[in-house]
Amino acid sequence: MENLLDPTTDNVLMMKVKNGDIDRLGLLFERYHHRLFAFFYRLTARRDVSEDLVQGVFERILKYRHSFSDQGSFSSWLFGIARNLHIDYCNNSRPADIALDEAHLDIIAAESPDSPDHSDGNLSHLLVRRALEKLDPDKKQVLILSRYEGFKYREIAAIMNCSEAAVKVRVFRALNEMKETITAFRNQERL
Amino acid sequence: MKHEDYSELITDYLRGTLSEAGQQQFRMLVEEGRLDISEIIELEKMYRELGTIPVPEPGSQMHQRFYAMLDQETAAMEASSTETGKTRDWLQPVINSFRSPGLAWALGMLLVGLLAGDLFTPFSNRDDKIERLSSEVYQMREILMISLLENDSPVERLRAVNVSHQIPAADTRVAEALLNTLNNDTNINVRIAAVDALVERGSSAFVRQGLVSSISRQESPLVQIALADAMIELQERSAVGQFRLLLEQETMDPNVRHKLENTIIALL
Repeated sequence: MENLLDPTTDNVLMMKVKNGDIDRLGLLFERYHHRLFAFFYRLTARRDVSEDLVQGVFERILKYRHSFSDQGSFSSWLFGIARNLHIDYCNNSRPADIALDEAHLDIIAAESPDSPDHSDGNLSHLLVRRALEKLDPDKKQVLILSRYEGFKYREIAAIMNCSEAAVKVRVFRALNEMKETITAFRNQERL
Repeated sequence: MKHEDYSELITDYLRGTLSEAGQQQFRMLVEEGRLDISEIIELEKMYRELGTIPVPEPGSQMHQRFYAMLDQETAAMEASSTETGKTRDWLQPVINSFRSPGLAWALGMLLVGLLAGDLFTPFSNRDDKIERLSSEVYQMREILMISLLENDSPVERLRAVNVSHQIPAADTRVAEALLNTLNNDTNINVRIAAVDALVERGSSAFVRQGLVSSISRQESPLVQIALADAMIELQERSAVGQFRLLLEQETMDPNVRHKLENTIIALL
């Protein structure tokens, strides 16, 4: 629970933004832009798109600042906006636009210490990245929020507007799908 | 898929958040063969690997775009404010009234009265205003400092520590933030800068105690030496015990060992 008397908590800063002191949004940007960029990058694997989406999140915060209520946590509200923005992006983009950035995959492959040989049971970054990319946006989001952003299942449930149990099932299904995709990739390699 | 019945249990296991009862149930299901341990290991491997996919740094233009948008929004808010227009409407009759000599004289007298009133305002009120303004400035600096301390860039965190020099020593929240930086920051230069900033606040028992407690937590020879200098400057004798504990480490750099031995002699 955030200390509401502390002038530096996210919620207090956002309440000030809501009340017209919009310069305080700068502090929130400094705190969150890295996390948001990483969130979008893991979803899209594209730097340019991720930067645009981070900008989009802060534009929406300004536009909808009056809807912020300090009953919940600012980070959950923020990632709720981020999630919706990503869904809009997927709906409004052509499949070619949201395709995985192959150039980036090459970089991942080159940097990956266990690539290309994963016969010892280790999985390469590339393989995992490709399997992640195959997931639908909803599963990808739930997995990223859970694995990278450190949100508790309760918080993810608030962001995704579903029950905690549903979050766990989605994480499980996403992991299983990824496992099957990786098996399929490996079988293709063997052929 | 049979495992889906246990999806909550498995996801909690993967995150390491299984309760004790959950752990028992998990073990039992594996022993009974209802959970295939090889499949779980596969999932665990993938879950772990997910955490190591690299992410590049965002470009600096992201900052520029954001602050340009913020400036634009601020300008739009100011423009949309009708206050300016209203003030102009209100002032127009006053300006017009100066065309009448009688009214002009009356308004002139009013202005003189207001100025005189302002001159004789009790000094205490002015002092209060100045004090309030100073307090707001300090509060802004404190917010800036604490926010910069959370930045990923060590340069920005160094800036934060430098900002602390402009905040009164009595501010305990700043002292707490500096101590936290000293104990947890990953960058040696930032930690050394935090030691310097804390020495300035050495009149506080809380800060001195924090510095002493930090001695045993530091592994970097440079930070250990900075703390030794700080203790001498503050003449903090209670640090002797902590330094002696450090000296028990066999792997200590000989130069640091020499420095700490001299520090103990200087403090006793």
